[in-house]
Parts: sequence; structure tokens; C-alpha cells
Amino acid sequence: MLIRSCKIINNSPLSENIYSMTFECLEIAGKFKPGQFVTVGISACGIQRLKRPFSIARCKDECVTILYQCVGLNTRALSECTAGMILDVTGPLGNGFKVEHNSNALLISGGVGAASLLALAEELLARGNSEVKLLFGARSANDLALRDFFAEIGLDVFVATDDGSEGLHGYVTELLDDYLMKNKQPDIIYACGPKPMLKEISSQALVKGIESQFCLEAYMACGLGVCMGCAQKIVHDGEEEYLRVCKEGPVFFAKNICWD
Amino acid sequence: MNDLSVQIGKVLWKNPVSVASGTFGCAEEMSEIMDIGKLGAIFAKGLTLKPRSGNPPQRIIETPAGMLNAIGLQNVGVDEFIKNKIPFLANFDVPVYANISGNSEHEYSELAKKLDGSGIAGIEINVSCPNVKKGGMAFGLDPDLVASVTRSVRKSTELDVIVKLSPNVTDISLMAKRAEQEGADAVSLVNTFMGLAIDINQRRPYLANNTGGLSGPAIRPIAVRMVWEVYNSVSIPIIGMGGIVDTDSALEFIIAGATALSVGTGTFYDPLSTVKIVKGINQYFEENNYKKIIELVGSLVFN
Ligand SMILES: Cc1cc2nc3c(=O)[nH]c(=O)nc-3n(C[C@H](O)[C@H](O)[C@H](O)COP(=O)(O)OP(=O)(O)OC[C@H]3O[C@@H](n4cnc5c(N)ncnc54)[C@H](O)[C@@H]3O)c2cc1C
Ligand SMILES: Cc1cc2nc3c(=O)[nH]c(=O)nc-3n(C[C@H](O)[C@H](O)[C@H](O)COP(=O)(O)O)c2cc1C
Ligand code: FES
Repeated sequence: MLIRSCKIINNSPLSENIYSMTFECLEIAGKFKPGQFVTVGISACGIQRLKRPFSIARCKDECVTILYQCVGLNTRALSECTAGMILDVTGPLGNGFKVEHNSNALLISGGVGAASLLALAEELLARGNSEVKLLFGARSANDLALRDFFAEIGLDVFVATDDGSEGLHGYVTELLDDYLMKNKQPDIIYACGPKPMLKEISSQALVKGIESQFCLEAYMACGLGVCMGCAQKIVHDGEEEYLRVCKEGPVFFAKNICWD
Repeated sequence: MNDLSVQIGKVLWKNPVSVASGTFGCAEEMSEIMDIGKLGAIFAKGLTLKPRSGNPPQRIIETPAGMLNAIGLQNVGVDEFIKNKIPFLANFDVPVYANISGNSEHEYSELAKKLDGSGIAGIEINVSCPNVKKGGMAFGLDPDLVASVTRSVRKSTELDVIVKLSPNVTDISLMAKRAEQEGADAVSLVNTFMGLAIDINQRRPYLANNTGGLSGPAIRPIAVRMVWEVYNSVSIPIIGMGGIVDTDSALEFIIAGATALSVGTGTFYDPLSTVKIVKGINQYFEENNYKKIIELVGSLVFN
């Protein structure tokens, strides 16, 4: 966990409201694991707000890239930052995905959740796992900006859109149903996206006995593990307990997550 | 570095800058990113007799110049605190205060008895947590209950006793006077203000607990005014807090009458704000030729 002032190298829109931001940070780039995140503050730009969490999508050449969607005040302010500006960055935070040398991994994303799976996909491929696939859920064909990152690194991507404007017409969980019927069962599922999606994947995976790891989101205040604000109920040592998404998470084994 | 030390009860702090309860855990995580030894004091996460699992999420929502929280006092319980947290906290040569909450006078005195002799510097009585159903803030709203809780904790420990006051009252100085009369060594103020933030699309509160405690710069002017009122009513030291994020806001509290101060939400904006404030106060001393913090305490020139 490091606190750094980082210079923005590039901040550009990928679609109407999804942005890619790259900033310099040799130390974070050097030690992060897929699934970990940073918190980014814009107070150096004159706005005092809580730092917000974003998955580390990719680290390259001493730089960190996050992929984010504008949903409110902080992300909108972030989208207005330009190259050369300084951000307050803390990271790398949390525990990443546990990556085994399995040959058959299935990645599932909903919306901007794909951002937390990109570095994982790269790592799986780098470790020689040839059969990595991604099921990518989005609202419509306009929201597929992040898919191209996965296609570029050579992943097979299957798409589902809520409005049917591309790929399967329906939720990504229906795509999963379909995929599991037609393909060899994956050894492991890694997923990130909205809670209802994850809950549904969890029950499908449980029935089939597929181990799953999910990257969860929670509203955070400190991101450091001190405020207990980001609680998620998890089965831990046989008991249900509120754990910190920012510290014990954000990645949890699906079988341990208590859904409300 | 100037002598920035301040005396709070029997305990000498090396500088007036402390961290507020519930915003610093028990220092384990923060020790990775800062030099804990630079702090004047540490107020550890709020404790109860038994471990508490806390409120369901969502527990936090950011609001203009601040945030609402309803953590619900999630904590490991006093026994685990004594066994596993104090030994770590003892590593830094910084006075540590335990912050205690109970559902009854009896629970408060049980907590104080257990903590007596555990190696900490003192006990901060939280009579003002707005996020637990029973007890908690109810004590802080009634001057007679503030008095009786203070009295029973006072009887149960040799350690310094600090009473943390709720700002959700009409006359906070009355509460401070009652705490002083019952033998409190200091008062700390303010805790959070009860607030409500609404998601208009769902017509529901953002927080699962519905209401939460408001902290951060949004509450600062009210907190400073309350410190000034309490300063004019009691002679025990005041630990001031509420929206301190930098040197200027820290000095406001001292000038209003606080001998020391705590940073809470400011740590979330900038985890290193406390050490920056210590440096900033030192610089202010040099520029203005002050020798002791106490010269500045309550030095407000009222119009
Ligand atoms: C570990 C982690 C990793 C994340 N990674 C990414 C990422 O790679 N890309 C990305 O675009 N977003 C990511 N998020 C979500 C991102 O942090 C929020 O979208 C952001 O904080 C919203 O801030 P805002 O001020 O713009 O919106 P706000 O005004 O705070 O909120 C707008 C809407 O978003 C919701 N929201 C706010 N914060 C969160 C949150 N933390 N989780 C879920 N919903 C939230 C609010 O309830 C509200 O409906 C991640 C969150 C976590 C916890
Ligand atoms: C997340 C959070 C948790 C808190 N937990 C406690 C607590 O356990 N006990 C307590 O007395 N005060 C608690 N407080 C109140 C703070 O100690 C402090 O009084 C208040 O936040 C005002 O200061 P600030 O504006 O600097 O944050 C908490 C505040 C926050 C934001
Ligand atoms: S956000 Fe503060 S503990 Fe996780």
C-alpha cells in the first residue's frame, strides 16, 4: 500500500461515458496483482472528495491504466482531468484473484466490471492457459468499448446485450447457461459485475460444482481498512461475518459470499 | 521543531494532533503508510463489552463537504482489544485512548474496569454514537445520564477519563459542565451530527440504517462554535474535532479553546494529513513567535 502523487499521461473517452485513464506510477505498476485496485482522489485538482476505488486494468511501462464509467460526481470530475494533472493515488489495495495453473478458465463480466478482469486475462494467457474465454454482458451495442481490449489480446469473447443490439438478446447469465450446455465445463469462473448477476452466476456454478472467484464492489470511505465502511457479509472460519471489501477483498470465493 | 506538547489530564502529548476514534482502526493498517510515532495521541476504534458485527451495508455515503456513516460500532470486543490490539499500539510511544460504548451504566463501568491497568493512557467515553439502537447517543442527550455514566466510569478506573460529547443537543456546554463535575479529566467534541441522505430514484435512504452520522468539513463551523461555548463553561482541557483537514482548520479549534484536536474524516481525504498538520502548526509557531500551545488556546479575539 503506497500513497503517491501521480501524473496523468492520458485520459480519453472510449465511448459516450467510458474512459481510459493512464497515470505514471512505477511502484504500483511494479507490484500489483490482477484484481487489486487503487483509490484515486482529485483533490490536487482543487476538489476535496473521498478517493474512489478503481480496478487496476493494466500496468505497462511504469504506468497504470484504469477503465472507468462516469456515473456521478467523482467520476465526472475525473473525466475532466487532462494529461499533466496530478492525482492522489493509493494502492495497490486489497487481495487479487488467486490464479492457479488451470487450463480452462471462464471470465464473466457485467458492464464496466470487465475492467477488473483485463489484467487477470493477460496473466492467465501469460501463464500458458490457452482456453480462456470471456462472457461479456452489456446494456447495448454502444457499451462494448471494453470488449475490444480482450479481443486484442486474443481472448474468445461472447457477448450478451440487454436490448439485443449485439450478441445474445438477454443477460450474461443466460449466455452462461447456454455456454455451459454447449462447452466443456470450465475449471474455474472469475467474475465481476452487478450483485444480482454475481448471485445468479454463483448459484449456477454451485450446482455444477465449479469453483468461482468474484471481484466485489462496495461503497468505500477510506479504502485503507480503517473505517469498516465497505462491509460485506462473508462466511469466514465457519461463521458469517462482515469483512472489508477493501482489505480482505475485493476478491472473494463465491461460495463464501452471503447474498442479501 | 518547537515544543508543541500539551497536557491532557495526567498525560503529556508531544503535540496536540490526534486521530479520532473509528477513523484509524487500531493503527495496524495506518502503520504501513505513516510514521505513527509523529502523532500526539491515538483514539482507537470504539469498543463494546462483546464483539459487535455492525450494521448491514450500505454504511457510507459521501455528502457535500463530508460524509454520513452508520458503521454500527463493528468491533472485536474489549477482551480481544486488550489481548491483541494494545500490544501493537504500545509500539509507538504515543498515548492510546480506548473509546467505549455501552447499553447501560453497568456496561460502561465493566469496560472501564477491564481496561484499567491494560497499558493504555486513558478512556474516552462515547455517549454519543448515533448509530446503535440502544444506549449510545441516548446517554449523550440527557445531562443526568452524562453525569451518571461519567461517575461510574470515574469510579471504575485510575486512568484519565475523557467524555466525548454529542453535538445533537441544544446546549452542549451543559453536558460538558456535568462531565467536569463528575470528575472527567477532559472532554472531546464533537461526535457526528445525525443526518439523512435520500436516493431520489428509490425514495429510500442511501444507508441501510436509514440515518447516519455526518462528519467532515461540512460540520466544522458548528463544531468550532461548540468548542468556543464549552471553553467558556469548563476549565478541563478540550479535545476539538469536526472537519479538520489541514493546519488552518486545526488552528481554528485551538484558537476557539481546544487544547488538542483530532482528525477523523480528514484521514480519508489524505491519510497523511495529521503529520502535515503537526508540521504546519510548527511553522505557524515560528512565524508568529509562539512558545507554547497553551498561549494560543482560547485566544480568540471576539468582535
Ligand atoms: C474494488 C472496486 C473496484 C472498482 N473498479 C471500478 C472500475 O474499474 N471502473 C469503474 O468504472 N468503476 C469501478 N468501481 C466503482 C467506482 O468506484 C464507482 O463507480 C465510483 O466510486 C462512483 O463515484 P461517483 O462519485 O462518480 O458516483 P456517486 O455519485 O458516488 O454515485 C453514483 C452511483 O454509483 C453508485 N456507486 C458509487 N460508488 C460505488 C461503488 N464503490 N460501487 C458500486 N456503486 C457505486 C452509487 O450508489 C450511485 O448510484 C469499483 C469499485 C470498487 C469497490
Ligand atoms: C467512519 C467513522 C467511524 C466512527 N466511529 C466512531 C467510534 O467508534 N467512536 C466514536 O466516539 N466516534 C466515532 N466516529 C466519530 C469521529 O471520531 C469524529 O468524532 C467525527 O467523525 C467528527 O470528526 P471529523 O469531522 O474529523 O471526522 C466515527 C466517525 C466516522 C466517520
Ligand atoms: S473502505 Fe474503509 S475499511 Fe474499507
